[in-house]
Amino acid sequence: MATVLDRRNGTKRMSVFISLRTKFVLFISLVIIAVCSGLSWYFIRQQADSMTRSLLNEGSILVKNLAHNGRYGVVAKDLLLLDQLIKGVMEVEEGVYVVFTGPDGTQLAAMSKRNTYPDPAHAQALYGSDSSDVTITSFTAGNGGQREVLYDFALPIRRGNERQAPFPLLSLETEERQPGTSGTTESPSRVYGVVQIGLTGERMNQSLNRMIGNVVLITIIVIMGGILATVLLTRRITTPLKSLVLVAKQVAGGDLSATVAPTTHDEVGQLTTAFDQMTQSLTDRDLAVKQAYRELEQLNQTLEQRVQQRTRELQTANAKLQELDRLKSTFVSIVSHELRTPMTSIKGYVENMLDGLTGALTEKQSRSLERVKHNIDRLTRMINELLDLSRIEAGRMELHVGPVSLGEVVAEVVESYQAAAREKAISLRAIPAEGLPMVRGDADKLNRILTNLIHNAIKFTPQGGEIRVETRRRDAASVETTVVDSGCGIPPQERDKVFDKFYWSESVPVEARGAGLGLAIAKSLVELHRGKIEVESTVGQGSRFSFTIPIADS
Amino acid sequence: MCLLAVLAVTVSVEPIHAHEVAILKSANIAAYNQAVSGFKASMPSNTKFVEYDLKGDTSSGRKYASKIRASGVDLVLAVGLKAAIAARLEIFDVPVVFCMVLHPSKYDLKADNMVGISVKTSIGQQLSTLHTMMPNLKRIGYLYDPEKTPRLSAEAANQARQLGITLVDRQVRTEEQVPAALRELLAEVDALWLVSDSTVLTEESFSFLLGASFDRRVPVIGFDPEFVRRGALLSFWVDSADVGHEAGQAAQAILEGLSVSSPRVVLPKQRISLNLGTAGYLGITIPSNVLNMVDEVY
Repeated sequence: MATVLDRRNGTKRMSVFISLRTKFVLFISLVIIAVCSGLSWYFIRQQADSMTRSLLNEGSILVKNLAHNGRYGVVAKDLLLLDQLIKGVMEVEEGVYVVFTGPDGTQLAAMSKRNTYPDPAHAQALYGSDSSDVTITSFTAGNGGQREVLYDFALPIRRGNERQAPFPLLSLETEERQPGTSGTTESPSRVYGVVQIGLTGERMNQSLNRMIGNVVLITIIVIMGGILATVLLTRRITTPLKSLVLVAKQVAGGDLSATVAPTTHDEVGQLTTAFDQMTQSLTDRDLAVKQAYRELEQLNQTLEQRVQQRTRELQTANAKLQELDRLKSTFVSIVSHELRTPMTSIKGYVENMLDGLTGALTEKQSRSLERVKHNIDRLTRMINELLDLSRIEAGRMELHVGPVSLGEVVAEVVESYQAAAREKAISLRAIPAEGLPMVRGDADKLNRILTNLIHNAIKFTPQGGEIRVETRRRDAASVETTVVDSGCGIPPQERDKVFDKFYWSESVPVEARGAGLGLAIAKSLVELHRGKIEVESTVGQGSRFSFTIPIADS
Repeated sequence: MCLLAVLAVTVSVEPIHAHEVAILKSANIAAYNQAVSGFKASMPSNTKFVEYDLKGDTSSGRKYASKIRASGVDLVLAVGLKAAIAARLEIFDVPVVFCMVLHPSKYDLKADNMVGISVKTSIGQQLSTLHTMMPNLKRIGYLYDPEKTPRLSAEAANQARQLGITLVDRQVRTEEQVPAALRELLAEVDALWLVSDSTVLTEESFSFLLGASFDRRVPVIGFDPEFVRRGALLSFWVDSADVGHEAGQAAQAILEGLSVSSPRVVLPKQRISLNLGTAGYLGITIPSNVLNMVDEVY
């Protein structure tokens, strides 16, 4: 009995372990027992039938012979002849009795070994019968306190047609002796008596019993021999298998050094050889795996050291870069701040000169000063952008958050860029939604975001183009503002880079390029407002820049 | 030429009177039929035969005999005792040849118009043959039922005595008496002679007679070759065809005008059957001159 874990469903079930050897021995033994027993039974049955038939044939022949030889004894009532015949039959070992019955039913002569005689009715029944066959009747009779089966063989003794005597010349006398009857008429045969012999089946039964004993003994010997041969054969088969199972368990337990040598040259031997080769292959593979593990471990250790080293180098480089970035920001901040002051002063003087405070200017001087003023504005915007970026990266950009009407901010910025739009015959329109809620933000920073987006749109929209600034409630928490232009569009591979610092598309001419910080600053400011900014664009058709700003708490 | 041939035939062929013979047969048994066949074979081919079968009925025989007498046949052949008796009683003026009658003297078959062919051979001839074969044979016994079979004649006894042989007989009246009489007889004789007596000799008793005789090493002598075939030493017998042939010879003589009064009984040819196996068993050496006489050897 063994408990087996069913791996498929994880349950334990009870099962009986029956070895292959036991199964084989049991099956073959049952077959041998069934076949031998069946054959023995059939043989015994055949022998019993044969013995019975032999006894019946013997009795039939005996009674026919006795009837023939004793016919004249019955006819002539010659007891001496009948006694001689009876004694002859009684010498037969199976013979129990012989009875001659006369034509009147009286017993002419009889002899019995055991004072056993047949039922007279058997003989009487034959007198009225036309049968000339032997009548066989079996009955039981006592024999020394035991019952035995007796077979009674009875045959009527008939006298043939006297006119058809086998001696032709004797027929003359017969013919002459019977005046008045036809010589061609056959007189029916007459029953002159009945002879009965009794044969015992005891001797046959004894022979049968002896034969049964011998057959049973031989059958048992054959069965035992067959079982023994089966056991030896299965042992020869299962012993190598057991060794194989033992070694397989050792291998399964991790002991790959376990080996088994083939002891036979049959399929089991081939299996053992194959298993040994498999074990050897597993051993080789295990060694290779262990070697690989060792190498991997060594590599892992080296890699860790290298990673640590690289990390340290990167940390050092990062620290240097952070320092450089800080120095750059500081530099940009300082430079921008320091540049903006003189620029403001220069711009003041230029405007004074243009206003004529320093005297009348010629047209040529006025055009030159206008260009100076324009470039001063451009330079000032670049400086402001640098300063804003520096503040944002340094974390010093502060938002003065409060409820802001985004529609008003949009209208204000759109109004401020109408002049620039008209210069390029661009249609710039604000399309606000009805009932737009207040957003939570810094009005100046929102103005700056829109300024950067609209400024870019005007810059990349050709003459006669259209720019729409749409404002709508995106969801329950935010308001979305979209700047749609009909410009040249942004190639797909550049859409992810348009919000990077100092990035300009290759398609933008150099003279049109600024600091490259407008969209980067817009993105940073939107994210400071916890919103999102994204772009959709189709080359040749235009771009859509959208950003969301959270709705202010009511 | 053709005319000459016809004339030659006409002149050469004398008109022959075709006799008409009536055959009155007692019964349709093999022995009678063989005799009739032998008779017909020995008669001229132009003889006309009219057969009557009594079928064992004597009264029918007398009716047939009357009819035959009225029919004007030239000769009557009576086969068997019943036919012979019928002819004896009804036919007086037509020659009658009878045959196959065992004991004609017993039934008064003597008449002027009757002549018989015996079915027995000469006792003296049989005794002589036996003496030649077995010179030491002194006593021969036989059983008979006086109701059916007459005792052997004094003449036969005398002939035996001349050969130094004594004939010993035992009378039996029933079949039941046969075994005891046989045992008694076998104790006294050197050979057993079977006679045609249905009380003594039946199909059943033959084996007993033969067996009992063999037990005492007594040779059995019979009158039928079948006995020899079944184990008897010797049989002196008459072939039924020979009897018919003798009857035919007698009939031809009568039809040719020979007186029918002499001889009254004709003895047919004696035939001998011998079983050499039995002879060997009994220690009997058969002389060569006897062997030359034997017709059938088994």
